[in-house]
Amino acid sequence: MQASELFLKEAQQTFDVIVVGSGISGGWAAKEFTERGFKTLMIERGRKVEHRKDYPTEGKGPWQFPQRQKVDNLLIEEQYKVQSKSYAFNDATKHFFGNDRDLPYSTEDGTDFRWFRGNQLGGKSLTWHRQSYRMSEFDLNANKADGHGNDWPIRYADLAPWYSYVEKHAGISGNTDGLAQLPDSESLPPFEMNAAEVSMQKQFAEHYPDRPMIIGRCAHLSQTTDYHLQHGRITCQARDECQKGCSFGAYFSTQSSTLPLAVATGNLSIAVDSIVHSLIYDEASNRVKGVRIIDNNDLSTREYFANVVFLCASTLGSTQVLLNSTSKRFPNGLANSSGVLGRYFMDHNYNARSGGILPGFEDEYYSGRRPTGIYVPNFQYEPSRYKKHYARGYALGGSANRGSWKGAHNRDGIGADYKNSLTTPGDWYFGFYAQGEMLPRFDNQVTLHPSKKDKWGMPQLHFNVSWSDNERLMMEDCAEECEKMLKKAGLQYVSSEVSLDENPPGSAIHELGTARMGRDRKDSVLNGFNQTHDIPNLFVTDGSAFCSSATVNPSLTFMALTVRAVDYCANEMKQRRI
Amino acid sequence: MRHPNRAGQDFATESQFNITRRHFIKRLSSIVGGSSAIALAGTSQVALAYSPRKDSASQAGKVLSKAQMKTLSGVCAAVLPRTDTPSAADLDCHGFIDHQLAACYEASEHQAVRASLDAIDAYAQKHSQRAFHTLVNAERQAILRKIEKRNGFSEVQKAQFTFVKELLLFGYFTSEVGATEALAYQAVPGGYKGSTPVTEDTKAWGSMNYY
Ligand SMILES: Cc1cc2nc3c(=O)[nH]c(=O)nc-3n(C[C@H](O)[C@H](O)[C@H](O)COP(=O)(O)OP(=O)(O)OC[C@H]3O[C@@H](n4cnc5c(N)ncnc54)[C@H](O)[C@@H]3O)c2cc1C
Repeated sequence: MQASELFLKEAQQTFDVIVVGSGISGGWAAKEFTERGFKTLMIERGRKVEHRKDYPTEGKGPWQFPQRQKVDNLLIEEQYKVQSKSYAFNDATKHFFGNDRDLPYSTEDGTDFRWFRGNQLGGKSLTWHRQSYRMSEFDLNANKADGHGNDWPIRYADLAPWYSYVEKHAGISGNTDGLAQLPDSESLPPFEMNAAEVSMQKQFAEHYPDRPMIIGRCAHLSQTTDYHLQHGRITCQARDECQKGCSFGAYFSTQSSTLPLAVATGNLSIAVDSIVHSLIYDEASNRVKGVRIIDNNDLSTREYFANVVFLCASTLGSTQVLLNSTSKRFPNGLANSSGVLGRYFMDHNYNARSGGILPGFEDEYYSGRRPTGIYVPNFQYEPSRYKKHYARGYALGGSANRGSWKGAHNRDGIGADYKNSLTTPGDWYFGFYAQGEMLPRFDNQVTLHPSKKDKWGMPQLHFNVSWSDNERLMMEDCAEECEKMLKKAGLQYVSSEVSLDENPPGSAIHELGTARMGRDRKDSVLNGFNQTHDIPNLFVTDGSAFCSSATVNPSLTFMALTVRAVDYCANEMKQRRI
Repeated sequence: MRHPNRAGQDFATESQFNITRRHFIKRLSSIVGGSSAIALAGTSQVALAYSPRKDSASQAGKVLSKAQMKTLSGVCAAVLPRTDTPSAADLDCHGFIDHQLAACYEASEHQAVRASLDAIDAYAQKHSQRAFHTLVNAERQAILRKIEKRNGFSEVQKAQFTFVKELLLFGYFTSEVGATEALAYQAVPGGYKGSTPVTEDTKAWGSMNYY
């Protein structure tokens, strides 16, 4: 078989598969299809980013940047007004964030939304924080159990083998904790807790046995294995500057993990700078035939063709393409006979936090910058454990660290003693933050703006999404509970806050739900294999498929859903049903 | 410190115990009615790191006047004085603060720094009949401690000075000398150890992620 041209612009041929998007979902889809021998075209709207070569800020100290990693005000005002709200956005990472000037969107009056982008080869796999947890049987059963949203058409047993499959390749560090509410991963060794965290863990075990605290699980090679070495990946060096890119390949990204294997098959082609405007749909055969492209740089148009299309353009990216693909049969967006495309938008709710000072442990410090924290899985994971006044629950993230000069300006102090206090390890702080579930609600909707377009002529997305009382009550309760837990564990100066009014939906960067799965084609877009109910050769495998948000970081589940969908699709193609 | 961040985002590392810049601005503008207009001064950025100069205190900066630069150099020398490592004035943190204000801060924040420095100098002139920067370090420190105790200074003036201190600490500890000599810097730690001993010589880590 002849190797495919890797980077291409024009293509006459009909590919077996088109994968739209090169982020976490698209990278996996491309790897799985090419490894099964399918000629695959990966289409990415942004520029090419090559592993190692295109990490220009990697390893630089803050003094090597014009404003020590802070970004110029005017630049933020003009181009990064939304993106700059991310904790991970700084002068060393801004080239991996979208440009708000070029990527406008609108919001319904009285609502607000933050849309974070990573439009380049690799998508947001370059900038994610890599926290990786499986969803549990309780999560997949939640909608059925309490009546919010539609029932997931799949259960934990459907996903479990695929979780294992992606975890072994991606490399997930963590413990086997044996918790029903948080199934274990196939894991590499866990990162260590520090002394203060070990002590907190004991405190919670004693006072809150139903709220175990574990070390965070993350997509990092905590150990070099022969398997990963073959792909050029070695052990995490604990720099925790991952969002600049990592030449060690120590964290999972498209560039470090999935793309090299897809390329190695010789079956992959990649079209970068190619914005999918819409899908080409043939009404007579009820099949998608390919995609219409607008060139990112010169705005010219072209088309690519394939037998199957996998949309992996991120939840909102895929939804935008579907909404923008209209025809006589689908006047409101392709595969949208149900009318729910764009509805039931969910994010996570990270808007409560609490912390305090842990006395003692003066002789204890740590070395290196751990790329994960500690984690308390959702302990309100079934209706019998819910609080009375709201549904579902939250997980807690957090960590213990010793004080430094950061924040020390708020402490009184002038002169040599003050200086010395800043150059030696300070008090131990321990803090929790909420990772709350957001309910699926019909009213939380994204549509195409009727008239506004971006510079490529794509209709802009229009958001009408807000937090409901359930989210508010949950955050208020979380702040209160955390305060109680921390005081009980012996922390001093404990304080807490709720920030729901400051941070609109979108802020957790876990967009979900706008093309949800379901058994009933009348109220869902996808079946249990991420295949659209309406069009057999069209799949969507990113977060838009979610029926409920659960509390866990979602990307590991995108991976599992994607490989499972590829496996199903490949079989259907073999059986000539697609 | 790694703490819940305030942006409601995935994974959080910022100190929640900070009264953040945003809070400061909020508080300040609620007191003095600050404008949120972006200052356009000094935005033609050449993407070069700030390199310390010897003469920052003897000329006007982009944001601060010559007199204010002098006062600020005195504040830098007083807050983080020379010990076994250089002082903040030795490292030209005053020059850096002016540079940083121009690029990353708003007009209301520029105004806060100017007001703070003017108040500090006026206090020195009134009580010692001399410019603040000509005082010896012990005298300067005594004045700055009064600000922190709000002794002869208002709540607003304390908040303004806290902001100056924030810029000063940032300038010092993100400089190469501050991060690698005053503190301990690990570019590539090689892994994470959860428990290491603290001895007489243990320095705080200067290598951190800049979330
Ligand atoms: C700072 C940060 C921290 C995060 N932390 C975590 C975490 O700890 N754990 C976790 O699980 N998740 C985390 N996330 C979220 C995670 O990054 C996303 O869930 C994940 O990347 C989504 O994968 P995806 O492939 O669906 O989309 P993406 O990774 O966004 O990739 C989509 C790709 O499609 C392309 N595309 C979009 N539209 C089009 C179009 N019309 N035509 C062609 N191409 C298109 C985009 O340019 C992009 O490259 C974090 C995200 C950020 C930014």
